[in-house]
Amino acid sequence: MLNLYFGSYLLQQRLIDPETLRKLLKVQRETHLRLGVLAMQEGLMTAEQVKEINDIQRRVDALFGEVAVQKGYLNQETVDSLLQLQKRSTARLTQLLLDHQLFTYDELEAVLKGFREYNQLSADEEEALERGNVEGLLAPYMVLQCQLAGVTETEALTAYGSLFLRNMIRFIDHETVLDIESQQLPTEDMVAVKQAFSMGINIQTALMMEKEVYQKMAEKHARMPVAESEELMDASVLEFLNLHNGLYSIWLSDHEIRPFLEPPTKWTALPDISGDEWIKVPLQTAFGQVMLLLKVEETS
Amino acid sequence: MKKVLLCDDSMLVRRQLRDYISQQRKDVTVIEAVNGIEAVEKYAIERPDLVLMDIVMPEMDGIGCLKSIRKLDPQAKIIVLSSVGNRETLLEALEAGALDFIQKPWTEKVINRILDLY
Repeated sequence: MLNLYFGSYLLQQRLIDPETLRKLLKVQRETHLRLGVLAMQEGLMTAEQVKEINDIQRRVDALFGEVAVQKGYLNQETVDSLLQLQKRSTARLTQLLLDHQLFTYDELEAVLKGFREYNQLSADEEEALERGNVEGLLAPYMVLQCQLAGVTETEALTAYGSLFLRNMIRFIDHETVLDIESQQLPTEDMVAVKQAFSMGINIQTALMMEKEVYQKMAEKHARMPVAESEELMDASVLEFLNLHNGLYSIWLSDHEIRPFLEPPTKWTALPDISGDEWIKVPLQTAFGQVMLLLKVEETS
Repeated sequence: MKKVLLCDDSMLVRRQLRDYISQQRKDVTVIEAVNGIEAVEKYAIERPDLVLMDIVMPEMDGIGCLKSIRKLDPQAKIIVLSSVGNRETLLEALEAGALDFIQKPWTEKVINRILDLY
């Protein structure tokens, strides 16, 4: 699984019961996040190191980050990054688990390690990601596309594209690569599905591809034959888009953005995507090209 | 025999879950609803032992449906099954009375655990 929210992971692994999680989530926003907990959350420091510095701080009036740098556990650049990250809600939940003595530091370290491993791609999937150099190619491409579209949400949309590529590799086809050179123009033989979500701005997301590719993608996602039913084919591709957007909502939430998703639907008439307002991300799979489309609409 | 109401607008999700449960769990029967409104209607008639509820649906979303069913039956056992597993939605679901939350895509292990636990 990719991008699972930490609270969901705790539930799934039965490390916490739903009622306790509910109570912690309610007070999460008001919790001041300690730097040591964040460092542990990010896998940058061990529980032993954090406890050591906490002990030092009880004796000496010093900032956690300063002591961590003096001890060589972190460098200043990392401390500065952590200070920027201090608003992240995922780490606040981690801290609450400690503050309410639901876990010790050592126990939490093991849980966080398991969580990070759970969220990783498999070795095959990582290899696929590196083979296509998708991360290296995607970021500058998205920057350019955002500039052309006149949108400023570059970080959010680049993260969207990156997560989409990973989800394509994870759930559809290990051979998926970014294929900037060969963008297909829409034809009558193409099919598109879409889903909008709002988060202060409205983002329309869509997938467009030829019918044969659509059927293959539907089968890959469903992991069962779907050719006998157009409705089942549609359901499969729609559910993949919905799954991806749901997982992306977790990234948004980590960045203090609450998105609201509309149900995904099939596009009855193909949109005109020739304008620059549509960000177009062409992906090549083993069975054909899938075009990811994004459009940002400022809300009034 | 445990009766489970499965509420999801995705034909694929309903089909996959129904097929899995009917093949692997002979102690469970499945009834289906395609949106929140239908789910409330079916709950009133069927009174299932457990509800598996999606969030993003047309007509009435999962949170609205959850609240309506809980108003109908405060003892209703409702588990949310959704891709939208962010902190806010998770809290909203638990606050509305969901007993648990399953992040999509579901696994056989998690579904079996939920069917056994609730």
